[in-house]
Amino acid sequence: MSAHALGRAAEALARTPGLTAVTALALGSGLFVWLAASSVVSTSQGQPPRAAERLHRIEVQRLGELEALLQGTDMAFVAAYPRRVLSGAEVEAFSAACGELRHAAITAAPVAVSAGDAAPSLELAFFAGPATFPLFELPLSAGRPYAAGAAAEVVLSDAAAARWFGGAAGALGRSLRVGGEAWTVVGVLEPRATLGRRLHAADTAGAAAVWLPFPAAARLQALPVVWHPAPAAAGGHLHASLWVELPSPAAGEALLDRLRREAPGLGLAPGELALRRYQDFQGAFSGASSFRALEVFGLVLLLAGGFTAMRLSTTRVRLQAAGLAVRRAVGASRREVVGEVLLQSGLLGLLGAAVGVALAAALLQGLAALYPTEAAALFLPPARALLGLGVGVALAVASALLPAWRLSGEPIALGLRRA
Amino acid sequence: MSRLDWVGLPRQLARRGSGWHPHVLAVGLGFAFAVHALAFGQRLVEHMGEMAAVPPEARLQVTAATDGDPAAVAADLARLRALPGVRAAAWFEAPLRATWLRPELFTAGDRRWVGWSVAAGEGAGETLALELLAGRLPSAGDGARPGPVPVVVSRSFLEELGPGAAVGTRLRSVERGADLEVVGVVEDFLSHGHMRTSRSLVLWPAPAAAPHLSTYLVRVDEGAVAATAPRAAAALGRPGRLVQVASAAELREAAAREAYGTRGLLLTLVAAILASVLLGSGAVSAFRVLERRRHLGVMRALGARPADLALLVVAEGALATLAGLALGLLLSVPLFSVVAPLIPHLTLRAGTLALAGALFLAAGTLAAVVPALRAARVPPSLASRAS
Repeated sequence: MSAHALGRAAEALARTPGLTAVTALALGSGLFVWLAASSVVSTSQGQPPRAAERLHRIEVQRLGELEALLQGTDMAFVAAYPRRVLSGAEVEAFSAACGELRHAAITAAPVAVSAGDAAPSLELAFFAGPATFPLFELPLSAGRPYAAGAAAEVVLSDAAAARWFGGAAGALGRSLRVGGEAWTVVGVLEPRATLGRRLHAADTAGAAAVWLPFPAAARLQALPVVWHPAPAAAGGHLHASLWVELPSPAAGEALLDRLRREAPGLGLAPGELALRRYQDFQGAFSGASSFRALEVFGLVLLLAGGFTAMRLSTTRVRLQAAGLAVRRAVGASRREVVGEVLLQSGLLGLLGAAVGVALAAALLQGLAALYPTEAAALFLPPARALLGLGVGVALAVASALLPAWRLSGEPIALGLRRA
Repeated sequence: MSRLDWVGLPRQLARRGSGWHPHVLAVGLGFAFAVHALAFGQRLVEHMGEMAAVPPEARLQVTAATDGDPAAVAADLARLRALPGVRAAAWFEAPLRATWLRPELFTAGDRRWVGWSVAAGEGAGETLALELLAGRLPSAGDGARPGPVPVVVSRSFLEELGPGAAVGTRLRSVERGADLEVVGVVEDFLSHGHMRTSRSLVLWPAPAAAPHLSTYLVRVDEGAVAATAPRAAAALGRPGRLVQVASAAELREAAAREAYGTRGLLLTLVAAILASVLLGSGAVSAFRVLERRRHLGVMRALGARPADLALLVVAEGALATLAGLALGLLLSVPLFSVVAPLIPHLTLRAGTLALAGALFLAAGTLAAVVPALRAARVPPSLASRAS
């Protein structure tokens, strides 16, 4: 494909600016809705990207009867909450059983935080084991995570460091009052560091939050955001998630065996313990079926846009019938003629796809800024943008192939009569 | 008007190769999605407002740091109750908006059901303005006595206990591993709007503990909210202590904020679909005009006025969109039967259907205006060129 051929194709498109614009917009609009819908699906299902296939949550399948009773009622959506959280005693016993496997207990609660002479404010605190940072791939922009067993060391989110100390650099080593106690800042997370939507329904990217060692939750008597009542013997509340990294499926089975053997004091019945994959819970949209529905919807609109573009391509090729006949009369082969038409269509497809990609990216960016939500991740991944461009070009080329082939096969005399 | 074959218009649109079929399909699917998205967004905001669980009379919520000091709770309550305009105040284990997250299993004999507990200290009955139906309201020391825990239950909770249930009926809380006795029955409180099941409530007597943060609800008259809020903050505040006072309206707004984001996302997708319909309709109209220029010229030569041709093109766009809307209505029936069980109390209101229909029709019709103006400019001389 020469630059000359490309230039001729561009010229041909420019000769019918109205039709070119309408075709590009028709294709672009279909792509736009498909890209926006499928990006919401893909980014929400897999966010934040991490080695999620190895990350599992230890769950106790308790209160199955409660879940069964709520099924089919208007409160069925809260039925699974009690089994998503563990008691302090369970966390302790299961953590010991995890042994060498990397694991971290996490909970979240509102706490009173003040820096310097400022009045205290109510902020979200994550109480998390030190392994949380590597396990959830939470990068630090300054300092280090708090050490295991360290007292009074705190890590701040980027927004918290900016709010209280003017930025990450100024925060390290500074003191902060959390829950009435003095804490020293030892690390600051990068702005995009986020736990994800599968944990206590909280995603703190961009929000001010403090990170404290897990045992501090009990010591400060902080009441977690998500908790469930339990007998005093079990630690009073079920309130924490325990995450473990499994190098292989076999390691999961071995861990379950060990948990059953080593936690008999918790009174768990056989079969009550389970490991849930990180990706198995998707927050607000919750089920894979709703994701599929949104994806199918976007795909149908893409096809509708594609059909419209196909119809317009037929019109475009028909309008060029006379010109194509002239080209053939002066010696161009059928293949060359079809190639020229397809090149035009490819360019047109690229134009439409660029419109669709740009609109989808702008829409998602605008939505993320206008409506910050934990229910969905709103951005257009570069790979999906490239896919959109590819799909646009492929649709446009495919839609022009048949009419171009048919017209190029017509007798040259018939085509010349149209001129 | 009479110069054109209006009756034959639907047949022309239905003809294979007319180019309108993808548009009709897109409008149908888009309309079905849009009405469900609008209904879901509306229900979600309503639902979050309901889940804020703001009691009608307890119009102020105070959050204060108590940091393990039980005396601080007693002192805070005494200060709040002494404020002018305050009718009652009580300590609550947690902000009520998260109550619905904690369904609990209860048993009595062979009956098992799900309820929601509100654990609160002395004065909770008066603060929530509970309407007593039988027995008594919670009283001081209820949580400290040996034996079954004396609880006040809502009317809906009593119905779960069975036909013979009344004051004095015993039951058991499975999660807490505690025996309970009904000492009072009150009208449903904290009912979560449409959410029927969540009206099954227990008021659990909890002696005021002193966690890191304490929650107090304050009963004040509607007109006194604005004046009492700063007074409550001043009464409890001291340097370095966290005290936050929020009105019921602020709590409802905060609860609904997250839903606004999701509703915004849905509304934007609907807008994107409308834009897609607009472009699709415009594109098909444009190519129909382009392909039929000679035919339009013949019509002009046979007496059709420019306005007739423009109207014909606009009518095509409108009719194709109407066909799409009819398809969308048909598609909405099975779609609703799939979606409704997943979203409790979702309703497709006539107003939503009418609004969405009007928007789609306007988009589909308006998109044909520019091609229609081009059609109106087709000269009659094109007819002779055709021959």
